[in-house]
Amino acid sequence: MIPLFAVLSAAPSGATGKLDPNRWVDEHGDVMFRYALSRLSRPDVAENAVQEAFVSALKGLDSFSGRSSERTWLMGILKHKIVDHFRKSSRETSTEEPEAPADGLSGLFDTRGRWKVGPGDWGREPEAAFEQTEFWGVFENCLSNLPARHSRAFSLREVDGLDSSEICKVLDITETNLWVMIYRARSKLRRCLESNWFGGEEEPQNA
Amino acid sequence: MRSCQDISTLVSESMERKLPLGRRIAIRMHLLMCKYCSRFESQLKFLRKAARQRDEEYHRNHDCDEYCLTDEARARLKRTIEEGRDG
Repeated sequence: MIPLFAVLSAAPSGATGKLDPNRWVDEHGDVMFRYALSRLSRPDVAENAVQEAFVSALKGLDSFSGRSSERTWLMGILKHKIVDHFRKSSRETSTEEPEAPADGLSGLFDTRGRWKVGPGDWGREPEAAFEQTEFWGVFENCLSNLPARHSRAFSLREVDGLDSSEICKVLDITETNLWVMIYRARSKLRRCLESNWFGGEEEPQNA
Repeated sequence: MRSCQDISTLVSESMERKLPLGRRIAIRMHLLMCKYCSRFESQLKFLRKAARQRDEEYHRNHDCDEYCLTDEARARLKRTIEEGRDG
């Protein structure tokens, strides 16, 4: 077991253990804003989310345990605010058309449900791409090309790790609808990465 | 026999909930024989990893480009914090 003092002294000073609200905007403001913008798309909405996160954080200073860094703690609060925003805006726009279960990706398969163009070979270690800055640019582009509610559903699931029933409550949709949306989001993202990063070597299916 | 279209849908759904045993077996059998669907499955898992990794990238500091706070926004946020502390 590691003695407590060793853990404390190993932490870079100021990185863990204490909060300094006067420095929040300068230390974390840009990172928080950029993150909020990546999820919410509009600068005014993103700024609002950051502001709400700061207000909640100030009210909840006591809940900071000091085990995580100030940044991680603030980002956690910000994520809750982002989910709250989706919850509110889906309640306001519940007139959205329900997802038709069968169309949209019909181009991927032939009438008998076989791949028209099969997924290509991404090599043994596609994760190596994570080390390359350019990959994240491509990923970002692919994500922003999705219809807004598809990318919302995808991110709530894959980034925030919410389970299906929670996402359905947030987005005010049924589970079946959600699975269709996530399937489409994944299929489109997959294709987009394949053509823009993994060489576009989709293979025509020889039936 | 289920088609690739059915299987790809089930593969995605299986990442959301535990499917009944019969369907899980149908997926496994199909994936053993079909290289496209099994690529599809590994690529969806890759997307999941990438989405999480991307999130971590966002926690890091970055050079200030168009995605930074404006001076006005910065001032507004600082005011919010001052007011929040006093209040």
